[in-house]
Amino acid sequence: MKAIFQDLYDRYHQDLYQFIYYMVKNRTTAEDLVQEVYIKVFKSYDTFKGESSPKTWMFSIARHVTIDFFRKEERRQNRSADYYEWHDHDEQLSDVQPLPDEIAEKNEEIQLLYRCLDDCTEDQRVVVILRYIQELSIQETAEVLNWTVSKVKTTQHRAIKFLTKRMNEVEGGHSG
Amino acid sequence: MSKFDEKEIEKLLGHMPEIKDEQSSDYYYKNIDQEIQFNRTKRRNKKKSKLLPVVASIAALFMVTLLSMEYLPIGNSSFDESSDIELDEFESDTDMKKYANDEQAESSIEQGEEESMESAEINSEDSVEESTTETFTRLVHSDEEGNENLVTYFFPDEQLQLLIPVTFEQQVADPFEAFNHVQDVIPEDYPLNADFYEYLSFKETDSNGVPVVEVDVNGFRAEYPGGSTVESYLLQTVQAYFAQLNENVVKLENENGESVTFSHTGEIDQPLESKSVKKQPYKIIHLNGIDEPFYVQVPDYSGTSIEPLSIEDAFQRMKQEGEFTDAAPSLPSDWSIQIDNQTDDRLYLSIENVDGENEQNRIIAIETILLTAKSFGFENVVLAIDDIEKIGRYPIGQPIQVPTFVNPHN
Repeated sequence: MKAIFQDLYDRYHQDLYQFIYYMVKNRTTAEDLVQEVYIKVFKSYDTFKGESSPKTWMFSIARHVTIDFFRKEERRQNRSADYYEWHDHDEQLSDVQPLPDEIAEKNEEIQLLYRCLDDCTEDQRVVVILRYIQELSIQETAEVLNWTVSKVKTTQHRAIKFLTKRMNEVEGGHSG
Repeated sequence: MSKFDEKEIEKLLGHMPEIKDEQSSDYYYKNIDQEIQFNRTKRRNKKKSKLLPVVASIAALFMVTLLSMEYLPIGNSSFDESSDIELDEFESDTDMKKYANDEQAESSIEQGEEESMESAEINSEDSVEESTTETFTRLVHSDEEGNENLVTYFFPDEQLQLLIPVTFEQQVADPFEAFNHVQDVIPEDYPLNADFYEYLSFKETDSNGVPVVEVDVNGFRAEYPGGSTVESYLLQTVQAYFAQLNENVVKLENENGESVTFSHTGEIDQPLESKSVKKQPYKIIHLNGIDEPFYVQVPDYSGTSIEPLSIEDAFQRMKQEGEFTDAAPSLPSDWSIQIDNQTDDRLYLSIENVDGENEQNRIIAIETILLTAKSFGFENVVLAIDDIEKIGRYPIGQPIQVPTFVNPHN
């Protein structure tokens, strides 16, 4: 089994880790979640139908694992809301994370865009990450998300439009 | 003048840096191996913790000995073994199945041990259950008395992944008005959360007869800040409720009679299509403090298929453990279900290998088959099962109507 794991790791690990990292923006969480992806893969590969490639299948599992993580965070924050008064802030976990070195080394525009990704809806963010950062095709993205191709295109279009608007707002000093 | 245009944003996104993982493959492998071993041990201990009759234990040990001899060359079931599989095999469906088979062979001793013990347990339990336990049903059919005032409400599960339908007897006769009275019927300590309904109220039907639901957006936002999943389930609650009343659309309005705007979903300025989840299997889910399981429709969260589900696939999924939800299989894994024929409204099924199950599990299986058939548009189902005339109240060999209501309270 180690050989299977190693093969999966060599082929897909970097992509999976990076995808999850950009979604959750926290190294430790990304490590935990990518580990969970492997466990789910090993538990369920006998049900894999081969209708999508192993790569999109694993990305699909990674997406569900991150969605599950966000749900748990949401519930945790709701439970804690009385104590921390999060009601008024609508804060996300990722907002308080420092920039990773890879981003901090880049120019201000990249850093700004990295921050602005948080303002997208979850659907928009996942499409942007899969399409532009992971460089998946529209068809592959549709398979990962279990969406139609046209839904991917529409969401991508809206995401880019939103990010453009948001970047200009922040750059122009109207970040509220 | 704007500094960024859409092309510029796309270009910048293409320059986002790679984020490297600082951990090694060995780190992950070690953790995953431990986790999988831990889960197996936990499963085994759970099963073994039940008291086995002496005779069953001897039978189980005998089976283990036989299986151990048969699979002796393979060794134990550690995740770390059988590393001589060709790596390229992960590239196709067929090859994925090979891995599955390897995994099955690898753990066959453990499984053999578990299954033999399990079957011994089941057999010994059955003899007790059949003589002392009354069976229950989770369905109400249209021809049953007293179902005039029943209303089905939908509640999200704890994981916010499933919508669980529960049917209550409701004094409010108008089904639209009844939407506003869930709190009248749901017991205080009920293990399902009806809070969503506090932010929703049926207001009126508009000039076209479309139901209008008022949403307390501010109250909802204050209680559930920043959650697109929660928003989605609020909407699904409305959609599911009105879909069962055969309403195709439902309008949403805020307190001022304007369109509703959520933090994540955005503005909803068009009538919402009221849809129930079509063509998906029913499985079971257990709620805290209630012994009998509930039936729940389970969308495909695996992401392994984008094709519409066939009813054969739905039956297959009803046998599988859910990797992504708390729902559990409603069909025994060894049941063989064959579709003999189907017309527009009737489904003919042959079922084999039902002998190993007790009456209650058979009823659960048949009832979830009926519900799944209903979700595929069938109105009745004819079952063929050798040597059995009836399961619960369901006659074998005769048409059985699909149910009208599911999960009646009490």
